[in-house]
Amino acid sequence: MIDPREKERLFAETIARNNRWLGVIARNNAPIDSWQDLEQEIKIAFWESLDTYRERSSLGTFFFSVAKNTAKEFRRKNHNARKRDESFYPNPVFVELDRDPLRAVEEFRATLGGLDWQVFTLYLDDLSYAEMSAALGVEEANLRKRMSRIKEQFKEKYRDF
Amino acid sequence: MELEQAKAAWQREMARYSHEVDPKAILADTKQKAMKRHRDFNRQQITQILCGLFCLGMLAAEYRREGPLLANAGLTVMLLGLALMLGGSVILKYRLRVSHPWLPEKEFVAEEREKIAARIALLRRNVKWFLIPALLGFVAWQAGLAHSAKMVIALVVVATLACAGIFWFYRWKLRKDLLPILEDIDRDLEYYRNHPESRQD
Repeated sequence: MIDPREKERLFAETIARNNRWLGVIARNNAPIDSWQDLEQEIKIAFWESLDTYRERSSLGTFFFSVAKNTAKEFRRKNHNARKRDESFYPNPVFVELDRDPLRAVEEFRATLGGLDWQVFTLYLDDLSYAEMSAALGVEEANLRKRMSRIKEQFKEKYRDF
Repeated sequence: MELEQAKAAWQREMARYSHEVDPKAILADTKQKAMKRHRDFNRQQITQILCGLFCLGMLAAEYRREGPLLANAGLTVMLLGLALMLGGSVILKYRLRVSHPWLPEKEFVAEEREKIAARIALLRRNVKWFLIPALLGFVAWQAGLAHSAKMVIALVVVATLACAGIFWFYRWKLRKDLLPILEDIDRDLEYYRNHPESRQD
């Protein structure tokens, strides 16, 4: 068990250093109205996980693993709960926001799977193809082709937007 | 709408949301929320266990040594069924609490799958092995005590309706809640199998 003071220090330092990334991860894995909830989930998961931190990996890597996995779990549960609730209580807000570009981005992103989802997410974060390639371990040429196809799909889907 | 327009709107929203926060304030807030979550969980579990034990105790108090054999056997079966359902649910909730989000993505997803599979198995086990025998035990218990055929028929109808209601709820929970998550996890695991080169840091 890690010393409580050391745990607090590690937590505060890691959050201070990675606060921006924490925001990015939350924004890329939760709908707009749940960004803060996901940030909170990640912070709590990180705080609780720190007890098991054994310095086998860097604290940054440890933090990203916790954040990524927590976000994934949150996204899965949240997405499923929304789908289930919407079928019971159709929400008029969704009708009203039909023409909201943010909602369109979220809706479109939800239709993408696997690598396309990740590429699209990094594109929204304004990463260059070189950065995407480094992050995903996929060749730049492949990424450009994928992104071009995604753009076409988006354009087609929201032609009359 | 062009994707570039949507991207610009997205980034404006992200910029609006970005904020600097004092890490010490975050630490205090996170500690407080984590502790509150533990307290809430323990309170819920204790309440559930105490309520369950109270109900089982009330039912057990109905046991009469000199009572009809059918009634005693029915009551015992019902108590056993309910106790096993309660025990299974409490144990599973403690098991599901343990999470290892620092694991590599693939292992974490596999762990998530195990948890969902355990919840599905509990629901199925409850219906198949505990709920139906408990309701049959209830009918036997009351039939052993009741004197009129009408009363027995009414009890069978009540037990059948209760069974159908609980069965429908479990089915709804499975189809709307657990199975879609399981399918989603399986899709992810399939993706990892087909793309072993994807990053697993």
